[in-house]
Amino acid sequence: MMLAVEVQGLSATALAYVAAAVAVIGAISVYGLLQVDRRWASYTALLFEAVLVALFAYTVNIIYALYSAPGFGSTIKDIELGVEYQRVAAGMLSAMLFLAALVSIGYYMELQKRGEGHE
Amino acid sequence: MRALVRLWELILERFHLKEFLEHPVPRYSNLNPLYWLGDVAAMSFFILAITGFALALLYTPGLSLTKTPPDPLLGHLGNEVYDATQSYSSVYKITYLTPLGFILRQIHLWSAYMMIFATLTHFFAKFILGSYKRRGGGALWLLGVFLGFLTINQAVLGYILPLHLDGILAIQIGLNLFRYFDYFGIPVGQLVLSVLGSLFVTDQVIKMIYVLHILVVPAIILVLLGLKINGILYGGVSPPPIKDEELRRRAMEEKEPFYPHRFALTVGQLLLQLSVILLLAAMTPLPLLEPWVPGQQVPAGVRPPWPVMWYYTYVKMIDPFISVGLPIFLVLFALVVPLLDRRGGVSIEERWIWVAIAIVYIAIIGYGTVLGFLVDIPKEITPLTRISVPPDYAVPYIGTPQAVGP
Repeated sequence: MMLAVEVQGLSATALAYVAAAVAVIGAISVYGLLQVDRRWASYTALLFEAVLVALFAYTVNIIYALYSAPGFGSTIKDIELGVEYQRVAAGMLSAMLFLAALVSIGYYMELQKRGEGHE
Repeated sequence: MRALVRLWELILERFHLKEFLEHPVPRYSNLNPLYWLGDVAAMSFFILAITGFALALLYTPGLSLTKTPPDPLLGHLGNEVYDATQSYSSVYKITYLTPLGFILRQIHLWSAYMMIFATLTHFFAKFILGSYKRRGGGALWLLGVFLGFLTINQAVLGYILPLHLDGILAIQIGLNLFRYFDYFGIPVGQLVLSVLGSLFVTDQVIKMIYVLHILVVPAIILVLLGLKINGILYGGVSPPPIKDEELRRRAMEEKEPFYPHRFALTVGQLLLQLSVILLLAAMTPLPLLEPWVPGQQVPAGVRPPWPVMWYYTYVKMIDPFISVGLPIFLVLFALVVPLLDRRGGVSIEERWIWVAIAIVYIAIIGYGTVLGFLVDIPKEITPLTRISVPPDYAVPYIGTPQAVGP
C-alpha cells in the first residue's frame, strides 16, 4: 500500500525565498557595516546568523519528520520532496557560512588598515 | 569574557602554540590570490576526510544485485525499479533515503571537484611563479606533483565506488592506463591485474578500491601534505615574481604574524569555501547517474566528469599510443621541470619561456576539456580494447575478461 507523505509546514520554495531574502539583506548589511565599524558588522552578522539558524532548524525538523514518516520513499515524489528540502537546508548553511566568512575576512582587512606587523 | 581570554592565553602558553601562531608570514603572500590555492586544496582534503568518514559508515561495497528506484535527479518520474549492485543501492540509500545524506554526499562530491580544481590551479600558479627555484622549492615541487597525482587517483577511485556506468568507464580507462606500460615490455598492466585478481569488477576488486580510497591513498596524502606544510613553515613561501632585487627583498622583509592576520584570512577562506560548496550543492546538485549491472557493457554516450574529460577527449580523438601516454608524459615532465629551469630569476619577464610552457600545459588540458563538452566525438567506446594489442614480448597478457587466480 502506498502512503501519501505530506508536509505540514512551509513549502521548500517558500523557505528558499525567505532564506534567500534574509541572506541577501544580511550580506549587504554586514558588508556595508564592515566599511564603517567592524564591531557593529559582527553584531549584525550574529543577528542574521540567529535568524538563519532558526530557519535551518525549522527546515531540518521538516526533513527529519519527512524521512521518518511511514511509507517515505515508496514513491519518487517523496524522494524529490526530501531532496528539495535538503537543497534549501544546504543553501541556508551556505548563507550562514558566507556571513561568517565576511566577518573573518573583514577582520583581516581591518588589521591591514591598522598596519600591525612584525616591524 | 576576561576568564575566557585568560584561558585562551594559558592554552597558547602551556602548549607552546604562541611560537607557532606568531611565526612571521610575508604580507605579499597574504594579499596575492596565487598564494591561496594550496590552502584551498588542503582545506578541501580535510572537508573530504570528515564527510568521507561519515559516508564510509553508511556505504557498503558489494556486487550482489538488489532492486533500486531510479535516480530522481535524472528526471525519472515513474515508479519502476532497476537492478543495481549493493554498492549502488547503498549510495542510493545515503543520497535519497537518509535525512541530510543528500547534503553530505553533495559536499563530498563538490569538495572533491574543488580539490582537483585548486590542485591544478595551484600547480600552474607555482609553475608561473617558478617557486621550485628557491632553496627547498624543488623538494616541495616534487611533493606537490606526487600530491596532484594522488589527488586525481583518489578522485577516480571514489568515482568508481557507487558502481554507476560512469564509474565502470573510469575503472576501464584506469586499467587501460596501466596496460599502456605493456607496450614497452614492462608488465605493469599484468601486475595490477594480478593484484586485483580480475580484469573486471568483482567483490574483491570493489573492496580493494574501497580500502585504497578510504585508507591507503588518504594516508599517503596526509603524510606528504604534512611534509609539504612543514617545508613551507620552515622554508618560507615562494618569493614574489619581481625582477628588481631591492623591491623583491623589501617585499620579502615585510611580514605579518600568522596569528591573527593570516589566521583570520584562512578561517575566512575556509568558511567561504564551504559556503561555495554548499551553494553548489543547493543550486546544481550532482545526480547519482545510471546503475551498472555486472557484465553490462558501458554504452556509448557515457562520459567522464570534467577533471578527466580532457584525457577522454584525446583518447577518442587521436592515436591511442600518443593519447593514452599523454598524462604519463605530463606527470614525468612536471617532475623534471625543476632540473631544466635552473637559470635566471623568478620574474615573469626573465622566464617567459617557462611561463609559455605552463600556458601550453593549461591549453592542452583546457582544450580537451572544453572540446569534450562541446563535441560528441563519434569514435566508439571500447575502453578495454582501445589500445592495440601489445607486442609479443609483453606477455603474459590477458586479452579477454576472465578471473585470475582461485
